[in-house]
Amino acid sequence: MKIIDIITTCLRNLTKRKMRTILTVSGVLIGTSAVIVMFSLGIGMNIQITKMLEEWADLTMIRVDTWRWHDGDNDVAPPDLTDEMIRSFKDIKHVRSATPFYRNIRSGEQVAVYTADGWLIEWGQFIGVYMDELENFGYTLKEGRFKQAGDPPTTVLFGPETGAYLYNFLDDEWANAERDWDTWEIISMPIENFFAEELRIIPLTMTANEWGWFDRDYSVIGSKTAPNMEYDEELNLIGIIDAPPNDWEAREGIFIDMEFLALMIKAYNELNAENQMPEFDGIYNEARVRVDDMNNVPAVEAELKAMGFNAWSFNEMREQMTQQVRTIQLLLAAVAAVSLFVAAMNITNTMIMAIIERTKEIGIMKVLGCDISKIRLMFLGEAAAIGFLGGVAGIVLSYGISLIINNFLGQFFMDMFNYGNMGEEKISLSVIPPYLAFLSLAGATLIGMVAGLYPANRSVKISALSAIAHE
Amino acid sequence: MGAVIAVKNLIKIYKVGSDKVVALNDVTFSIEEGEICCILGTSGSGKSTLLNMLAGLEKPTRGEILIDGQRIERMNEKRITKFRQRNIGFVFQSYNLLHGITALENVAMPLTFRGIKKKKREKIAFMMLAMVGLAKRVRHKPTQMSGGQQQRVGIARAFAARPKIVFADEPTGNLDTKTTIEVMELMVTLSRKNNRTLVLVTHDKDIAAYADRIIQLRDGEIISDERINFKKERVLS
Ligand SMILES: Nc1ncnc2c1ncn2[C@@H]1O[C@H](COP(=O)(O)OP(=O)(O)OP(=O)(O)O)[C@@H](O)[C@H]1O
Ligand SMILES: [Mg+2]
Repeated sequence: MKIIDIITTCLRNLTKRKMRTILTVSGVLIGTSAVIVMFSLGIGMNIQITKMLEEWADLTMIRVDTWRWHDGDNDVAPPDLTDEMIRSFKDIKHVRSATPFYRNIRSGEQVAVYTADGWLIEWGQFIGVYMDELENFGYTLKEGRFKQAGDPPTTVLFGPETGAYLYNFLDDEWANAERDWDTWEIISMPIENFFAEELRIIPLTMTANEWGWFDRDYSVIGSKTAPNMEYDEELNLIGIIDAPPNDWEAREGIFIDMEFLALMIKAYNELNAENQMPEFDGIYNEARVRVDDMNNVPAVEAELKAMGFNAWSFNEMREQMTQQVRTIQLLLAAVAAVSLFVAAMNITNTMIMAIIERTKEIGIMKVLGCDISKIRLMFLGEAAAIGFLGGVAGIVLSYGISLIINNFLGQFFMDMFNYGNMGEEKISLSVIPPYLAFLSLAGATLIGMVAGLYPANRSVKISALSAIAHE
Repeated sequence: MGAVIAVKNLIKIYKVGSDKVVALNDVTFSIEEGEICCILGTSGSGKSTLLNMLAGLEKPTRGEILIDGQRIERMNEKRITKFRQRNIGFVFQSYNLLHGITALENVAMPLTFRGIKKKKREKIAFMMLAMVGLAKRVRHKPTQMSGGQQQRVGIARAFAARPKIVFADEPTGNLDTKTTIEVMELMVTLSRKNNRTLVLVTHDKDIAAYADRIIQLRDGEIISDERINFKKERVLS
């Protein structure tokens, strides 16, 4: 007996009892779409979480620092973070790039940047990095370009919010960026185009007030009105990078080559014997590591920790949130699986009924020389077809439900959980990737087959003789 | 011509509770190829039991059954099914056609089991139906046909796969006299034309008269085995 004949027989038997087939298929349809929709919600939620975190934080970046801390019994003292060490990070599997991220911890002493008109960039702090590594590190540019060979050591890059707060030491006035108070996004900067400005550096000392805060009472070394000419370098701004909101150091930083930053600190300390800045001794306090893929972050993080460093990423947070979603998802899927189980029992029941009805037919076929394995196949095929049809219908229905959820319920849920405005784009709360559809179809067919196993074996056991014995 | 069927010391005992029913008691005979053989006997004499065992539908308690030289009582179900598919055709008293499908599909069914392609098997089935006079009924379902027509479909089905042997258990048991004659003549003609061995079970002497040979059973034993050497034109009238 050919496969095509078995299939034809299955289909004929299914169409002969239309109502029963439709009802049984409906059971599978409900079960399948319940499972698909449940999983799609989980997948959609995970995508939303990742998207949300991505907008707010950098998920493939690991911060490495060397802060000493106490883990209860012992002092944890990470090894020295030297150039050699940072370059060795690049040898770790999945690490794309690594750079120091050296900042002078905010204190009264700093080197500041000002324009020819006397506008001083407040809060904007120098960050010592490998300038030629930034592009590879994955920072994107809002404007301008990255450092190239031949650029002078005074080359700098700004963050998107560098220069959002300005103080004019000539006129003693302040200028702040205009912000959208809901999203904290900048609407306009006090100086729109820093590229047109002549940027210079200036050594500053601030005095702490009675609460330990630094007032805007700058003592410019040399004279308040005329910055010290001995310490006068013109900076060469070549671009403005972008960074996620969480990376505030980068957002308002001034990126410069570490070598040059070290020289600046040295010059500052020579000018200002009373107020010394911590000098760079070849050991960084922070470095950043870029991992090729979000999913490889845990492994790299673990390796860095094994080396003795403190390593931080947002992966842990994402994992926690994903884990929560997974728990909910499993719970929902379990509920959905019950309906699939009921559908399977329904198939078994239908097939048993079909076999009882067709006892005589099976007997005749056996007497006429139909192979018992083909009889088994016929019934298994019928059960599998019910599963398959239910699966197909279930997928179609799921896509429909998914569409409804995303179009009508998506924003509602987002508002409910206070995830806020995700912009104009549509929110996909339920996502059905092709693999989910495919797996569900295969699963539904398999369930049909498993449900048909017992009836099919029963059909094989029917005695040909008693089946054809005339009534 | 060699024996296509050979039965040696065949015994069949049914156990019903603690009682034993001896359905066949030491039966020995053989049938030649192309022979039309009738097994005659009253109700309960063991005719059907014998036929079912010859067809491999039941296992004997003791004894040997050789069909075409093969010991079929020793075969497992898979092999015996294959064997039946290749060598045996069946005509039933109650026709046993599948109701959901057409006459053509019913006749083509044994060919389907043999793995013959749809086009070819339907061509053969059509020829068979034409031969039994049902060319105009090929697309009819069994429920839309009379008993005689249904039995003719049954005969077409039995001969369709060109089996060596055709078994028929009371093929006219449900038919009236006129139809009985038509059906018997059809079966005998088809057997003779194609040199098929036909084993016919009946309790009716008149029907037995169509055969070349009559084996008579009583209480599971052969009481007579006679060969009719002259051809009769028509016995029933
Ligand atoms: N499955 C069975 N279990 C027990 N006894 C059986 C079984 N089948 C047949 N018999 C017995 O074996 C004997 C022969 O039965 P069989 O069916 O062969 O008779 P038959 O000659 O075909 O009769 P009929 O002309 O009525 O069909 C009977 O006594 C019957 O009761
Ligand atoms: Mg009988």
